[in-house]
Amino acid sequence: MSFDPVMPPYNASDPTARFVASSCLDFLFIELVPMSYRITNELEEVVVASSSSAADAASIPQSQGTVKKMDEEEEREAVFWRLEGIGYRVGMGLVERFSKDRPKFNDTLDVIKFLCKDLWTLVFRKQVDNLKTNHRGVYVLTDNAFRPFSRMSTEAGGQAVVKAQPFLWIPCGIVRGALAAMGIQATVQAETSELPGAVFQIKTIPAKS
Amino acid sequence: MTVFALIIINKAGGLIYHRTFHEGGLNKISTNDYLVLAGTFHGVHAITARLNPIPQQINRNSASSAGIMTRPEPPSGLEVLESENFRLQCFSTLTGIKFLLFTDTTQTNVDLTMRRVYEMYTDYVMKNPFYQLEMPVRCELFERKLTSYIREVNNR
Amino acid sequence: MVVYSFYIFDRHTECIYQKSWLPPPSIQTTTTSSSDNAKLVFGTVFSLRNMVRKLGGEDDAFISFRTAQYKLHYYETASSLRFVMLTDISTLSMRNVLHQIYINLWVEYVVKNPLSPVEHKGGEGVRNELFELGLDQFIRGLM
Repeated sequence: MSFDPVMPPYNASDPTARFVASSCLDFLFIELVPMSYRITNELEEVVVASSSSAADAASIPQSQGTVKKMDEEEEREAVFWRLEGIGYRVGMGLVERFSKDRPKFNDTLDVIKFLCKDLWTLVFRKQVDNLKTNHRGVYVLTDNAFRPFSRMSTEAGGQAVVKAQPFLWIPCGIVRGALAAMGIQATVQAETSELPGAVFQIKTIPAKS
Repeated sequence: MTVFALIIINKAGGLIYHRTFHEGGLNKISTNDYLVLAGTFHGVHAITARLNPIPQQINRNSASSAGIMTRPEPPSGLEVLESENFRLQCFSTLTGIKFLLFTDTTQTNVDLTMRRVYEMYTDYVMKNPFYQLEMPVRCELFERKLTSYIREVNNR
Repeated sequence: MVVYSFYIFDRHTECIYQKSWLPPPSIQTTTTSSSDNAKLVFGTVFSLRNMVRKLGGEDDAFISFRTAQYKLHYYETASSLRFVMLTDISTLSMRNVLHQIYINLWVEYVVKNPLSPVEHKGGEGVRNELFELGLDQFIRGLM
């Protein structure tokens, strides 16, 4: 990932040329979500198993099979924080690397524009299509063809929009991390009403002075 | 342009003849493998006829105009198979015997060659009083005529 | 050129996708169900593929066969995914077309689809809208 335009000749025989297939990033984004669900559930099982065996192993031996799983909401929360956290860390690192040649930011809008143009291109290979703000710290970014959703599809009536939701959590984290690295504290939420579009809402938290 | 080999399969799926005319065209396989191959092909041939995706329908227009219900052509089985290294043409006689000619991929006019081979079979095998029907073909005259004909084709 | 039907078999030999472009069959004709048909198709191409390898060598590949009524085209990927297409007999080699379906539709809309599982038991994840739409458009564009 780089802003630097690839200069010709960029053929494979050039020993200094380095390329990464963009599919790698696609696959990574795809796999991180089910992986987080797996990790979250496995950790929960370990916790439940160890606590039950430590507390009262003898009384109900069969309890292992029917351990109380997290309910859906808890699972969703746990996975969200896991993915959002990964994204946050990535976002912070990315900005460190790719803002180095930029002139200083004047205000928050400047930062948001950097996010919409440069960072978005870097991570999602296109710019945000629409940026709206209420001028009181809320920014709404609309991407009509959000890259991670470009090939997302299910059978007709397969609730693709609902299933797509967890795939927004890493991008949310990346945005929040990037903003944090540029000195803006914010909460970031994202949703989609129709694939492949996505809407990100950024609420900046004014710094206490 | 080369004819690699000929296989004849009887109506029960048994191998009754196999001859290689050109070394290096096909892998050498044992007679037992040839027997297995004949049986497999026999089965596959029957299935390929059943897989016909086109609905069989009686042609009503021609039937009404002619006043006779014409029986639809029964679906044929596999006739030509192509792979990267060879081409296989199968001729299934009305009596259920199958002739398999293996040639190189550029071979043309296999129909003609097939026809000649079938003629030779009828002339030198079927007309041979010592030949037992459905049994392996061991007729010297057929062998000789076939070999010289194919040599002629391969040198063309 | 007419395309009759299309099948995908995974490396476990299961038929994970099939589609027909024929008008729905009339009652009198079809006695075999579509899943039976898929099994017959797989048995056929598998036998022929093995036969081709036996005779033509390990590097040889089964490309197609035709009967008097239809032509069957075959393409197998390195990952043992098998694509089969039935067309009319005048159609030239469809190997390229099957390869295109593999790289432009399968890889893009099934492999790179975040909502599609890695294994497609019962066709799960293959019958998604983008793949089906892309396939239908591609095939109708050829006809």
